[in-house]
Amino acid sequence: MRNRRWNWLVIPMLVGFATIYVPAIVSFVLISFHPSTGPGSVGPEWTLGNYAKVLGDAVYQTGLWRSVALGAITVAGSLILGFPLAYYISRYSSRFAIAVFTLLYVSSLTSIVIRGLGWITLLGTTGPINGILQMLGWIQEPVIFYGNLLGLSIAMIHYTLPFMVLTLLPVMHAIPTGLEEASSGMGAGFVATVRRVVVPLAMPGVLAGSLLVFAMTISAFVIPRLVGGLTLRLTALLIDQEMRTTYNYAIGSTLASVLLLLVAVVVVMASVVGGRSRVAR
Amino acid sequence: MIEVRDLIKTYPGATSPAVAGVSFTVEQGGFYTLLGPSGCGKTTTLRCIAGLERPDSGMIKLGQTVVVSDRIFIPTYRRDIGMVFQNYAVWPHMTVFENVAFPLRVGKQKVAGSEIDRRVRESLALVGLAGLEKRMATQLSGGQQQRLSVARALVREPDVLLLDEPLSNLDAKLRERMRSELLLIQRRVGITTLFVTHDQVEALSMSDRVAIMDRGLIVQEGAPRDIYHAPANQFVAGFIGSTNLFAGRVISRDAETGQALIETAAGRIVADAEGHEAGADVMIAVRPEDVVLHRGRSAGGPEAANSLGGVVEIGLFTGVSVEYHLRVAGQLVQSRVSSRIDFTRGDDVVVELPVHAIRVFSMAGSEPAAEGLAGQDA
Ligand SMILES: Nc1ncnc2c1ncn2[C@@H]1O[C@H](COP(=O)(O)OP(=O)(O)OP(=O)(O)O)[C@@H](O)[C@H]1O
Ligand SMILES: [Mg+2]
Repeated sequence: MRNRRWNWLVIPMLVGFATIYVPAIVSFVLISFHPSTGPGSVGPEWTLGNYAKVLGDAVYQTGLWRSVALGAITVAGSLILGFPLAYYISRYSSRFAIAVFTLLYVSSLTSIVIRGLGWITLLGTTGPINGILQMLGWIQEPVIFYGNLLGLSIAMIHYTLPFMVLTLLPVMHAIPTGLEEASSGMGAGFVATVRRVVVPLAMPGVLAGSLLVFAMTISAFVIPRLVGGLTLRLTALLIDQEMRTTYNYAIGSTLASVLLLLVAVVVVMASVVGGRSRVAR
Repeated sequence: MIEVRDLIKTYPGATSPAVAGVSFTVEQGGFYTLLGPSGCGKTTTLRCIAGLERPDSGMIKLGQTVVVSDRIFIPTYRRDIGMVFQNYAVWPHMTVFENVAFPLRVGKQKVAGSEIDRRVRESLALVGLAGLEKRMATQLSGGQQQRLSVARALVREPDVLLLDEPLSNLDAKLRERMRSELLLIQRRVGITTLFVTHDQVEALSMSDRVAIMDRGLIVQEGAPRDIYHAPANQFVAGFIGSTNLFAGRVISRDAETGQALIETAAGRIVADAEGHEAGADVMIAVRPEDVVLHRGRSAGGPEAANSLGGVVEIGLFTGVSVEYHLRVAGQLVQSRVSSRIDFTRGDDVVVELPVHAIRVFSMAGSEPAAEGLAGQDA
């Protein structure tokens, strides 16, 4: 507000946004309200039929549920791994912590295709992970990771972890260590300090990171295609199928709109929670 | 009671220890202050007592519990302490009430809800914050946040209270008020208190005992009066209050009275110089407020010992007193006298340095280690 004269700096971004991104979204949302009239075309009349079909059809329903489930599992997984990691990196400026951070950062720069293929190799029935599990005697038969949510979740957590950590880090850095020292000085052990001081103060980062990871996951395409295969029928894959294989633009657009709505709902929910936690500060 | 023995702490990568062998005892219910210049190791000592740093060696006892020794290291949260930090460190995501209730909620023994309520209110009333329970901690002023952190530190009724420069972030007026308030609270609760500050007025006015630290060592320990009037060495004399320091050499010494005649740039001075032999290079310290000024010229002669002729160079009127800078032969001497005494620049004065007010240190007094041990029991 104070430096209004710099506002023009965002104009190029807004122009790009308004001329490319918004029309694209508006056009597929509009298409979703028209009936399909054959491959690659929609009729002029308005209808809610596409939504009835998408929400009523078992295939699309399963796809949606699986996408949401994958999103939830990935958020949980990347939080469980990412929160302690970000806390560790932010609190210990040791060489090891820096190495861990660098590794994480570099791995986030690797091509997504390479990472997807990497996981296929690692998770295959004759791959090293099954090998180790069998060697340890924990399993008799190889675990099948390919084509199910198990393997896909592992790959997605790996893919989203750096984003989670990179979102959490600045928030953790901003928590003065004195607040934790005060906590232990007032009789709180490590767990109580993390639960009552670190987690509440890191909440904005947790929400932002979870949102980012959730949105990334339910719209992810490459890794689900490579690791999950076609049988999983996740929404993002179904959209691709409708748009590029059967040319059913109406259904494809409807699925995309539903996904968009889903992300919007989660964003609103997160900002309500976030707003409440901000009021409480 | 707090007992610290031979505490040594070296930070990783540091060439010299931040705390280089500190020992002291705070009596039950006492108010003990570590005073010293920036970087002398006060905070490090306090953090070792709190358990926030792990010392290289030494022993620390809180009450009847040894919390640090060769084989023991009790973590911070299991030490019976209350802490107040320089930047308050109140938790921004909690209300005033929750900040104070926190130590009761996380403690080993479960405290009932009604009991928590009662004790939090009691603590807040003690520091004068009653009625602000529902406010967020960050919605308090600096002074109120400091009170809050005191209430929070006391609510568990710990054995000892540790305070690291708790007043230094407050403005001058508030700092003065909090000084007496804090002391009043301490007296009322009767808690053994260790206070860390670099503000000598705070240290002298609040403490039962003061330890002066320099480069990781305690160089003198004693009651505020003794520290002020009988500094054990040149460092303490220079650090506490303002002091006229000038170099001299012992010409002769009367073994019976212990008085010596000392040659200085200001002239010959008689002083108690126990332990300084003839020929020794010494440092002489006199507080400006001990320097007496008489109008007129020095009569000279042996009966007028320590009455030296001087000329007024400048007078700084502060209202409470006037600080005169006087040229006495080759030496500049400062004198602080009642503001009713009025000299002007160029006036001839007799500058009297009362024998009992003069402290004599050996020149080697800049070595804190050697002097520190000698000065411990001063
Ligand atoms: N975390 C640390 N790592 C390395 N060196 C440190 C650390 N903390 C303090 N030191 C060093 O240890 C010495 C003592 O520091 P300490 O903080 O105890 O001083 P202090 O007496 O509290 O000073 P101040 O009045 O400025 O607070 C200083 O030389 C300081 O640079
Ligand atoms: Mg300090």
